[in-house]
Amino acid sequence: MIIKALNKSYGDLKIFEDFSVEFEEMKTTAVMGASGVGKSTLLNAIAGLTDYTGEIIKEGDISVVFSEPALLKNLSVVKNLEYAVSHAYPNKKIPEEKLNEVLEAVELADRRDALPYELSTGMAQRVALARGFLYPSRYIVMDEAFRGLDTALKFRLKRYFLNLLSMNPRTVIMITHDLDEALSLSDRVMVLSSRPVRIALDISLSSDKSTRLPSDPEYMNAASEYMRFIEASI
Amino acid sequence: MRAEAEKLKKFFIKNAWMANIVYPLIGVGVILLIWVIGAAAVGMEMILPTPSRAFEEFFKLLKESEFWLAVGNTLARTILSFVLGFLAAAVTATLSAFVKPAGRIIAPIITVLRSVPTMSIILIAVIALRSTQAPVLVTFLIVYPLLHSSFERALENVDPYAVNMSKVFGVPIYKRVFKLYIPAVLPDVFAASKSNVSLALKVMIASEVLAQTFDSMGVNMQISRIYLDTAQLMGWTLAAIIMSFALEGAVSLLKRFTVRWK
Repeated sequence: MIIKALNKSYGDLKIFEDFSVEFEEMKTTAVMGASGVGKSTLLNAIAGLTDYTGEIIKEGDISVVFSEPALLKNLSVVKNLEYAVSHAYPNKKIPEEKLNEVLEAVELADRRDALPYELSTGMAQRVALARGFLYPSRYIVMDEAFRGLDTALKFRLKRYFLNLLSMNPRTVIMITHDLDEALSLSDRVMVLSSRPVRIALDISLSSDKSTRLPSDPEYMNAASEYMRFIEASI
Repeated sequence: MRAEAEKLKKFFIKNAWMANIVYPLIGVGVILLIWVIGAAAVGMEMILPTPSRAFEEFFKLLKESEFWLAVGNTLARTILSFVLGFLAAAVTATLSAFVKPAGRIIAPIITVLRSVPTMSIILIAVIALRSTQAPVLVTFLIVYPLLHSSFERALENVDPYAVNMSKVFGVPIYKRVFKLYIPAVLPDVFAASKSNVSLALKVMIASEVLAQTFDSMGVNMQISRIYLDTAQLMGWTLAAIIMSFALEGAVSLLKRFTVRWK
């Protein structure tokens, strides 16, 4: 995905001015930066949820995972998945084996008929994650998809994410405020600075993220680089 | 003491009929008691008859064919105005919520309609239209802006994440309408309809009084007033209250049916 000369303003406030970036195919890029820097605006522009000038070149559909599960209250887990995804499949039907595969990957195969109010926060977010991967998209954008979850739940969700990603490789752009999330799930960490938005720090991670540990030298070096950058910018 | 209160609470929770029948009956009993005390204090049937006199008149009315003609006419006009208001509100609220320029045009119209005194609308309509048409227009103009605002608010309150998710995933419009928007707004639509359908009846009767609409509840109330037959006026009022309950009940039934359909 290539973003060329992106411009976006809110009134007189210029958020993006001639901003360009390229996201490598089938890789996961974590986008970080202070609150209000323009991360969500970037995601909204990519997802087509806000107007902008410039060019976003993409070669396929996008699916999205928000910080809220965005489930329809009156529909069961499976019906929610069908609502969002079925139209993208031949005969407007999700193949049963595909549906089972994704539900099993997020350990929700036994809750397929549950209504959203019968699910815990973590379960609901797992449905959102499943939905993102079930949609036959080339790109997945995630806007703080693990926000507000406790450490244990976050750990499990990250595992589900890596599991799903290994089964259904995609180009992922994830917005996060959590350094550990960025370093353990992505191949590249991009830190944005504001007014107008620029890439202030760009860290590449070459090791396999599914086996990467916080004690790995690459993880620790990247974390130190990020912390040095934060200290310097305070 | 507390244990006993807890026991009582559990008993009421267990026995739903207490909540659905006994409690409302207690409420009705309180109204009747105040009415009896008021009638005794006033001591003049011409000003405030007793509940028993009003019921007597009410049952007398039930036997008259004119009563049923008036009730039928008023009911039909109320339903017509309400349905017109409902449909207009559904269209303009949808436009306001989804087409920003349309919303900007509609907003001041709604504000003006909401601010115009009911009596001004009635008086103008009575001058300009036939006595059978004026009450319909008046009731429509009162109910429509209220329904519009409720429907617009309901549409704006649909989960923005679900709306954005549907856009990104390219969910077909018909699916969004039937699976996302309609189920999300239905509770608010029914709540607004329930409160506005009884308002529609009240406005209809008031307009019928001023428009002197033949064979209507309003005009019959006016005739009772002219003859200082307050007991009969109360009989008509009881009929209006029962109609109001029936209309609200019909909305509730429709809601139950719709929930099952959904």
